[in-house]
Amino acid sequence: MKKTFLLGIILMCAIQIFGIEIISSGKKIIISSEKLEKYEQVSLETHLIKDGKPKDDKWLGVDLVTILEENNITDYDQIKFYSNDNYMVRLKKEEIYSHKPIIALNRNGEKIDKTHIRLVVPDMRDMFWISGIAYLETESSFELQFPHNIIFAEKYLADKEQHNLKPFKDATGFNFAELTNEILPTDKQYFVIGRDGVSHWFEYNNYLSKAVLISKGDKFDMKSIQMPGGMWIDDIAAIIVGSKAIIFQNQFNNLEEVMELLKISEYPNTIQLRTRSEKKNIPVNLPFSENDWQNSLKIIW
Amino acid sequence: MIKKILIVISLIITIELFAIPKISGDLETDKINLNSGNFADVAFSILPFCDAALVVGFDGTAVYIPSYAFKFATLENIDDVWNLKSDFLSPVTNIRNISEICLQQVPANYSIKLANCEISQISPFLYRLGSFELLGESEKNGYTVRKYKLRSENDFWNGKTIDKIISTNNKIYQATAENIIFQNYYFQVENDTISTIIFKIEEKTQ
Repeated sequence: MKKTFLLGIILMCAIQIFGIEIISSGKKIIISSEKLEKYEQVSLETHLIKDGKPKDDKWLGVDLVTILEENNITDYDQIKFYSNDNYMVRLKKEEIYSHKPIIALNRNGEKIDKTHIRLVVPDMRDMFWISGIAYLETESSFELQFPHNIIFAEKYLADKEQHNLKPFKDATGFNFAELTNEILPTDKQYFVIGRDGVSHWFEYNNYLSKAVLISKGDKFDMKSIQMPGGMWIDDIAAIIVGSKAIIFQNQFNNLEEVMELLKISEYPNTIQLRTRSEKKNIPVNLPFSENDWQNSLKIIW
Repeated sequence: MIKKILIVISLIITIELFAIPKISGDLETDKINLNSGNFADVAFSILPFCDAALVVGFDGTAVYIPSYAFKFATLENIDDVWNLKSDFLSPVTNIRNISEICLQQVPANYSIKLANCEISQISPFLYRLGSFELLGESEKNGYTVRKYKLRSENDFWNGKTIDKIISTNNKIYQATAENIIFQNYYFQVENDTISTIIFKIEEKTQ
């Protein structure tokens, strides 16, 4: 208990003193709060609609590109931003250069507490405006591979029993691992996307090993105690790992809608549909309401 | 006398090195006549709804191939030495002197249900895969295969304490992991097929 308390104090002190940490190509660069304040401060105004109400803010902070270029951090495809409560967002290099995010130190004339300095990304949803930045990490891009093998979640789960999902209250459904354990490797990045297009790349052990799929009628929300609520995926639509995908078929009317959500524009016209005892070739645009899909467990193409 | 012993030992080694590959995984039987030919034909004739294969060499090197890439590989038998070859897929696919072909089907025909465990079930294929260490992935022509190396032991049971084992006949056994025998496509305890394993919940200590 004493140890945890001391570690907490050390961490708080570290954030106060160090500001943010950037990990790039195996090297750690620490930008202290003091140094952040010495950078040229740029201002920007943002306008958001939050809970149906307009929200206007004036921000003052440091241009992220300036910090990166000054530290010769240019060889990357995207950057992960971690908050001190393990929230994580990714921005692609082209998003960083086109949206020109700032590390905000001042909001509407008031200095932001050092432990709550935040990323402000103009013209991108506020889910990317991570608060309490702990560190940044550059990485090479994860490209979505073409999903050669698609399994339908609802059919796979059909013979498993839903159960209570502690610690979530009044939640029933499945543990995430009950769906993925047999199908997807745990040593690769998981791309999880909701029907509204909100998506994240996740490391399985850090974020998903304790995740759950909470049932709401014939659809599911994905939550995990390993990540802040802002990273949970409502109406989960697809999970993709390498060239394997799990699709929540009830979220779509046909396979073309799946490909549209995944932004995959080129795919074969014919797919092989598999039930537990049959293989059949069908056109890719056959609506899910057609009989051929009724017992289909997976497709191969 | 020493000569005779040496001859017997070398015979055993020779027989072992040139044995017909063992077939394992999510099968209904392992009594299978293996034929050479296109690997898709071979694998689907053994397990029609196969999703992936782990092909293992006698040197412990293995390759994991998803079923949609099977058609680009050939299983050949030259003088009783079985090899997997492919010019189209990554060179990692070329396995000389195959000792085992382990096939996966999702969902598996048979899995052990696991209670009080981080995963809810384990299929024969996934159990066998746990005996291998992933060395890396290799992509060629848009198809990815994974290279593995046999580890000294399967550590699936490490850190878990078994409370009960229930057989498919609903017989309950008080046994340890050492009593569980992996029989290529199912698990046994005291000659009975295992249906469920209930682990003890470990009490957390401060």
